[in-house]
Amino acid sequence: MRSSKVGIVTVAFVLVSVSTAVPNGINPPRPSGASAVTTVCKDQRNNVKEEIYRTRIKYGNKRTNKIESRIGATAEQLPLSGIRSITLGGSKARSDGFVKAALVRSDDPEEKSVLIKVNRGDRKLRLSGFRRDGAAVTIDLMTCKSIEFFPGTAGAEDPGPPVMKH
Amino acid sequence: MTGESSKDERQPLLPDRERARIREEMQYAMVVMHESRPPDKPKSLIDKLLAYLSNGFVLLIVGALISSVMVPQFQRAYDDRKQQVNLMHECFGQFLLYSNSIWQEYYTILPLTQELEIDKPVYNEYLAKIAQVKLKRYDAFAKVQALAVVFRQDSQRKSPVESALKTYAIKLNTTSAAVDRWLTRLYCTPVNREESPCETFDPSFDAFGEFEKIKELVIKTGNEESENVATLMVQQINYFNKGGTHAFK
Repeated sequence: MRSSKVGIVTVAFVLVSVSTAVPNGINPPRPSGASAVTTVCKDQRNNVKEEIYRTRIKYGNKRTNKIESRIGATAEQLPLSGIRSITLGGSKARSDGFVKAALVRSDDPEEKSVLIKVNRGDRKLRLSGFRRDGAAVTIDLMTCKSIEFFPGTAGAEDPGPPVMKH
Repeated sequence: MTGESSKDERQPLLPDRERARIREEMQYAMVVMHESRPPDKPKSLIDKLLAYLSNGFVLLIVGALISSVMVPQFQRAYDDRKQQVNLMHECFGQFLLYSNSIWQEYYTILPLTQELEIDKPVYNEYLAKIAQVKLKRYDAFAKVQALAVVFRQDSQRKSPVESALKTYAIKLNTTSAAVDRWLTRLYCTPVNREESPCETFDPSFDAFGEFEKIKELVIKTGNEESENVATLMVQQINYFNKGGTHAFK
């Protein structure tokens, strides 16, 4: 019992110990959903690519940064920042709102066959975000042949400081 | 009876012949003494000066001159030096207030790192908080800038402290501008909102990632850069305190 306490104290000390004597600020955690994700949707019909900054999944008036997948009976809410690519395998969704797809995660390069939810009830799930110029853009998930996900601001250029509306 | 005895007392004790003999012997002894003494050396200039100064009146004049001219002059020089050191200390104190303000700014926005986006009231609230910090900093900077003149050796030429202060102020302003820009972008960039409240915004803005960059900037400016200027000031004050001039480099 005593040795476990000593162990906990030692671990706590190692975690908070620093090697600098000068003020070093505070290290707050990155809040959930704070990672901006840029997606590139390749259109089913014409293969035209649409770049969407700050992508969220939208259904109705609600927005989320997670997409629902299913492998067998296992359902999972995948954060967009944890996905590298999704290739949708059909043009029509099943009655439960899922469609076959090939999924590649950010932490696992192996492509996996999964079901991806594209409809919630009678509402279509959409990719929602902004173009580089700041214009709002919304695309039905099902219209994309494939979707690539880029965490953070990869590939994006800084358009300069924002201007306030008058 | 009484008249006779007083008459006897008035009579000389020695006869005239004896007196004359003693007088002659004394004169002879004086002549011998005078002739046996070595001749007087001629007085040197210092001896003459000392002899002159030992005169009471001369001493009075010299003392009056010292107390009316030289003492006030030394006192004035001492007071001036003391005043300069005090101003240097005040300048240093104001510099510490000035340089610490960037930490206040940093800690003011820290709670917002846990927000994905902010609305107008929150933006205005934090803008007001930062404005207060900035106003105090501007006040401290004005004082530091004015007081830093005391480090000058030549009234026309800027001292090393003033040059270091200017360089530091530019870096501090750059860091402060980064904080401003971050707050504005957090307000302007929509996450869950349909659109931005601003005319334009940066869709690639990553609030948390940008805050990490600000933190690095604040640590560099608030620690290394301010330490350099503070060290220079303290060295100058110490040098001046030990009797040196402003020529320290």
